[in-house]
Amino acid sequence: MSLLEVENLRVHFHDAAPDRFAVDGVSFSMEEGDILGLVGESGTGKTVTSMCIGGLLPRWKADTQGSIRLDGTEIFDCSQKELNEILGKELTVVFQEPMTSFNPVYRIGRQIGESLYVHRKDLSQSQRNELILDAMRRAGLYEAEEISRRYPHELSGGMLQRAMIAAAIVTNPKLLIADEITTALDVTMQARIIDQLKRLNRESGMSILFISHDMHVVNRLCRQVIVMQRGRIVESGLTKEIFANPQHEYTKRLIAAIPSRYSGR
Amino acid sequence: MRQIIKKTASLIITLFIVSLLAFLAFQIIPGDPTTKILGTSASPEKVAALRTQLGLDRPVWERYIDWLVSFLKGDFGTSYNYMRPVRSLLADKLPVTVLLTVMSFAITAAAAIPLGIVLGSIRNALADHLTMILDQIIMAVPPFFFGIIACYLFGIVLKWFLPGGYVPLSASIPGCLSYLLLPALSLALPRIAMTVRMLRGSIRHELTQNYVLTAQSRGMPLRAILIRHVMRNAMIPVVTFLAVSAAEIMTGTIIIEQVFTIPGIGRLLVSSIGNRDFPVVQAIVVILAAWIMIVNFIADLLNHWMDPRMRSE
Repeated sequence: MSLLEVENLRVHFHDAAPDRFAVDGVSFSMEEGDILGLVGESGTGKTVTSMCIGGLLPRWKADTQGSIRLDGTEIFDCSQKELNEILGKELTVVFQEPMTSFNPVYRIGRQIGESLYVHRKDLSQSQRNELILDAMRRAGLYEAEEISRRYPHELSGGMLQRAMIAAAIVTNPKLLIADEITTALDVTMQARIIDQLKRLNRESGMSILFISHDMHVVNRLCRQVIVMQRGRIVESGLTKEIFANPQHEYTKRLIAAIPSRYSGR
Repeated sequence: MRQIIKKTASLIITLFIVSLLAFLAFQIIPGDPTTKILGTSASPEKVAALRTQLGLDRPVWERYIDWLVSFLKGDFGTSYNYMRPVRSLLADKLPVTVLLTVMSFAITAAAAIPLGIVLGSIRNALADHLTMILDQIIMAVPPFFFGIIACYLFGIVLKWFLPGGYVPLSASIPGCLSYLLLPALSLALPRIAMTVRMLRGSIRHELTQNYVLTAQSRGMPLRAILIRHVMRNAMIPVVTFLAVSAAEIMTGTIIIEQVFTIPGIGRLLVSSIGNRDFPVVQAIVVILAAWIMIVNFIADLLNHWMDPRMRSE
């Protein structure tokens, strides 16, 4: 059994035209320990797909069809209560905007420990603190104690993004969804975050669904890749092969969009 | 800490300017306290003698400095009209107004915060629409109108209380509190409507923020997200607004005390302006200004405590 199986996923927003599907028949699967890239320009349905996997798309906003099974559990059949049991524990999400994804009025440490607060009420405060600091170091925040006492506005974008990763791995979930997490960062910071994700995958076997529009970043991180355009999958397979020999016109354009110093031409 | 000292200093300077303006205003408006004391047919000699006795023949700036020096010493002067020290007059009347203000503010906060939370988090369009229409109506009606309606309905029709039959605090504490309940409520109603609207909007705005999605993605139920994440952010603008409300309620007592014939400083102020009773007016104006500044100061402190972004500026 695969860790994640998405079958014929269709999403229609209530305010869109009747025949316009944000996600239009997407199917893919992920094995445990995989790093899967999901690429495409903005507006191709990558984020909507990830929101569906987390059950985070409100029902009053959109209709969904198809099936999403995480570790055998059908997400679309879950009640909100059952979903809340999975979110933050089995599956966590890191969003694109690190600056606004944190609550501005609380300290970083407390917010990194949020999943523990929700799912590990059995732990004492000091046990939770240990796990928080450990997660921060694993995410590359080595001055963990000092940083945990700061407020979001006192940290840089790169540090906040690593803090978000720390918050997402503090419960050691099976699957981490990283939605455009390197987009707002400079190239050096991108490289460091990618290395951090690779290490997390290697050391704790965490599966990562990596969403990006940047073929270069995906090429460095993911063994397999799915290319999406207008809500549909246009190409998928091993990243290496697709990079070397793209079949679809859209994939070729995405690869061509990388500045030449990356593609080695 | 440095900000607190800076704020306190600016508070004192503002109070000083307010007192000067109030003093000057009385030099500009026509009318003379001697007319009220001696009547319009008094001989010019008698008027001149009284003016000398009250010190009104001296230059304005000299009188202001005199007033300021004795004010700082705690001597607010003597009322021309009652021939009593202003201090003892205020000692009688201020507690009533303060009690009325505190009651009204407590009602505002106790009603508006829970209502705002409920209306901010429900997603029923019809219920929301209807309550907002009602809210708009209550917001638009001035307190004195509620007061008049309350006097008529509960006083004259239902005979639950005797309009104008104020019970002094010294006579009966429950009697005084129950008499003040209706005026406090009249003052509170429009403020409740405004605060509810503001808190509702603030919560709705916060619920669209990304940190709410983050909390959802940790498996936190909506209720817990409201309490643990949204409330503190949503309350930041509301705290400032509540401070404005506390100030407006105190100044609102000036009118509502007339409607319910409550012997507070509001009634005293109105009659003292009519009588050109400078020392009383001057003292009340400074008290009202000080109150407005103090509640704003408290709101600033609360905001600093609630929002770390304000501390690092």
